[in-house]
Amino acid sequence: MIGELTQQKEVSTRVEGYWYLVGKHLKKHKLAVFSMFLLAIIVLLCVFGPYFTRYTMNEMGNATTDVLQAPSSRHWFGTDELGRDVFTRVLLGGRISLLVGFSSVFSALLVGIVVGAYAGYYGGILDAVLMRFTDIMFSIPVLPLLVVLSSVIPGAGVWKIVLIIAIFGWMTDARIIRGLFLSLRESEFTEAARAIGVSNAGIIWRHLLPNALAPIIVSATLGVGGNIIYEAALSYLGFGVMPPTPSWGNILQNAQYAMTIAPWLVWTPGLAILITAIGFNFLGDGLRDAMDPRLYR
Amino acid sequence: MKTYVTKRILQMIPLFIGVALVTFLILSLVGDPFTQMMVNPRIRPADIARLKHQWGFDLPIYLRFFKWFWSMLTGNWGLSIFAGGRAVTELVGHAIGWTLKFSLAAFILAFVVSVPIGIYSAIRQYTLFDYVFTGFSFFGMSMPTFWFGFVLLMIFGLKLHWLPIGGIMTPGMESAPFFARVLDQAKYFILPVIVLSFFQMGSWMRYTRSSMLEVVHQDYLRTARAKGLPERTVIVKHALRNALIPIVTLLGLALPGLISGAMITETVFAIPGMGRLTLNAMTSNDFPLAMACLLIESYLLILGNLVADLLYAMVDPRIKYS
Repeated sequence: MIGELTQQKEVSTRVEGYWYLVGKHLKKHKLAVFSMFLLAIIVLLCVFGPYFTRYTMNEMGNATTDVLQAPSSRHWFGTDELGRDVFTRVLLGGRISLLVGFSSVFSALLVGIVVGAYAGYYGGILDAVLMRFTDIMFSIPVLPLLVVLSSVIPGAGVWKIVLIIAIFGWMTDARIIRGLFLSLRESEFTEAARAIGVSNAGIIWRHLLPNALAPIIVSATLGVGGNIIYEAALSYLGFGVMPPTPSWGNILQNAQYAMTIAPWLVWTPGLAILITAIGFNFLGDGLRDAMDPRLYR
Repeated sequence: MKTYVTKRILQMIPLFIGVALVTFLILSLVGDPFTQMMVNPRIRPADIARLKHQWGFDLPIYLRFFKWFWSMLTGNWGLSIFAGGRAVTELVGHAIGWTLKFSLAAFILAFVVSVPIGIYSAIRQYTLFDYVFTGFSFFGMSMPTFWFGFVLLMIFGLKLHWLPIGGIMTPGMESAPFFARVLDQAKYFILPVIVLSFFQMGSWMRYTRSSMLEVVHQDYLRTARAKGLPERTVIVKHALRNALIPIVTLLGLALPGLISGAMITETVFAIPGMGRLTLNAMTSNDFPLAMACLLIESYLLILGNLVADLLYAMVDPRIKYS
């Protein structure tokens, strides 16, 4: 009977799969759609923009006439204390900030998924140990330790910042995924998979993980904005991405010394961070609403 | 209830030790501060060896942990290595007062502003009011704290000259009469408190709104309306009570944000509080001071969570703990 019904539906209309429905609901969330376009523009600008600007990252202008110039038609965002074009630097800094945002979320997710999945699936002592460790990591104030790790881990590259943000960013994901796996492992399809002899690893990665995809995507989207702000905060304290590589954070940090005479240096990188973070927050919020399983029951 | 409280408190003990261990290990990665003194020709090697012994840096790491943890427990927090050899307790005691003042003011401001707005947004869902403040809360949540600080400083400090640009009081006001002093300090408080509470405001508005929305759509409210109660009574007496329960947990949720927010805000506004003390201790590799600061902050976090959990259990009779 049920088989017949679904068959009929497939004949009459197109299959309304989960992702199709998510897309349909997301389209109704106007702010999320707007944010998606906005973020796409920001990403495209940062990735391809620097190829089209008139200046290069470290190109210094004339030492007397091009230093600390207010925004003009030649320099859209003005110039900094070395006569470098701020527009070019904000675009290039965006590459780094977005790279840090995306890759730190990705690495934190990897850790969070592994910890959460194994704790939730196996339960027992493994669960207890991993979750107590998660509790401990949750109870330590992140920012000071980020500062310590930043001075301990050698190097000054972008990947170091990604690594240290990821080290303290996996706990929320681990908790969410553990919670889901705790209930998923009791489900009938897990039992069925076990009955036909799928290995534990196979069940975790092929059968359970796809079911936990929605909250993972939401948490990742919200995380990108948050981690961009983290990078900026670290840079402000002097432990972020090191100059001469520009990031939105260290452009701002650099700008604070000229705050009294060149306020435009403070405005643009900060607005870039703010707009990008708002975009990711709106998009994440829209995705959360669109992916809410309660909508599809 | 009693067993739940006992269990919850007992659970904290391993957490306390675990947090101490993890922070200790991470800080130990930095290496001991005395080896760096070796390069200074004005310090004799014998003195360095004596200092190393005094601080326990000649012991293997696990013994050093126990030695340190025991002295923390017994209240013997030692001397700061670099801040002129002053007692850690004295430095911390001085700094924590400022941070508590700022955080408390920011907490109250955020609470007073965001909870009523969140509730009103939920009652008037999908109205202009709701949209404006939903936008505002996203704005708050996405704002980089230090940049917001800069912007406020630029506008109100540098451009309009309404407010001072950092610090805690006008020099010379230390011995002023009480009210004059309080007024003077209030001027210095305004900007940092706004910056610190801004992020909290955004997320609490969202939180209160969704908590209230969940209640507003419940059947018992329809019943209350159906029996002819005025809307005001329905909201204030029936809806609000249940909606406020999850808000109690804000107490615990607020602490991590306030602690890391305080670190940035204190740096931007040059406030000599815990955040700045921690940061300075970290960057100068002042091990005893840094560990004490970190431990106090972590323990505050744990205690905050505990208080939130217990309050939640107390105010919500539907939850049964066993």
